[in-house]
Amino acid sequence: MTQVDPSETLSRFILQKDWYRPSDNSVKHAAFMPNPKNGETSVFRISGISHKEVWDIGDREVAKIRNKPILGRADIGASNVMAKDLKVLPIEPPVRHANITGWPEEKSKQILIALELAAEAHFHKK
Amino acid sequence: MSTAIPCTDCNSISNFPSIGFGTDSEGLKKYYAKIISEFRKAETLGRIDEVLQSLDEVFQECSEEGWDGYDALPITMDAYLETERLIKSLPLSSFIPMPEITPEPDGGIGLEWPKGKRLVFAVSVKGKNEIVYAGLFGMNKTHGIEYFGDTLPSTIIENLRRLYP
Repeated sequence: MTQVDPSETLSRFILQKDWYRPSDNSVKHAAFMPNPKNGETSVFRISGISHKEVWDIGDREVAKIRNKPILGRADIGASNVMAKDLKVLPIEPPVRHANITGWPEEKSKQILIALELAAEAHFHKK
Repeated sequence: MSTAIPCTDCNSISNFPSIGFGTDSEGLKKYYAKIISEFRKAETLGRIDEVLQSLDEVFQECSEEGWDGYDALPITMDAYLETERLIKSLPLSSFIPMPEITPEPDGGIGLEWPKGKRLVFAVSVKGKNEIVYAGLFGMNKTHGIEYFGDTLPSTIIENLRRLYP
């Protein structure tokens, strides 16, 4: 399990329809907010693989396990995440999985960071 | 074939032409302003109804744990009611568009006003008489928390005015 390089691209799979805007293919802040159970945001490292392989990972490792369809994904550079004093830690299995950690305690700061990540992310509808 | 051209010297529907004078003209001007005000109020109320409907849908869909496909907490009735109160507190003579509803993983409900890349303001409530907010205004940023009593805190309105001057 190699450390995440800033040049890598990360993908956040979206399973909630109110987390993106079909009108302009953008993503909302809630898509990046941390999981309340562990305070981390689950992502996959997708550098060097095809779009099809990325969707396959989403279907296999997220949709199937959660029993909900993948609606899209928000791709973001690891450097964008790290620039906000967050860390990206590889957590496997599943293969290529990582968590965005180091979120501040204050929710207003979390929302601010999530707004920035959403503004910098590229949304792909499935 | 007809060609559309922009009308550069036309009056807006909300502006009464200022070519008349006298008491009759003043009376007509006031009457016209009242009609426009009622029209805007009805239009805004229609948009509030749409947002409240979308809030209802979010509440229905996100009332069980894990609704986001990860480990999201259920949206609580308190968060729902406070969001409803917040939406109804928005100024009616609105300079701002109605917000988008977005459920948050911690069981809160977010309202977002997206205006463009890095031009966005968001608030979040969870039924605790608090409004958590954050905004991006180009290179400028803001975030904080305000007590939500009987009226919408002025900080929230001021930040919305930054986005919609």
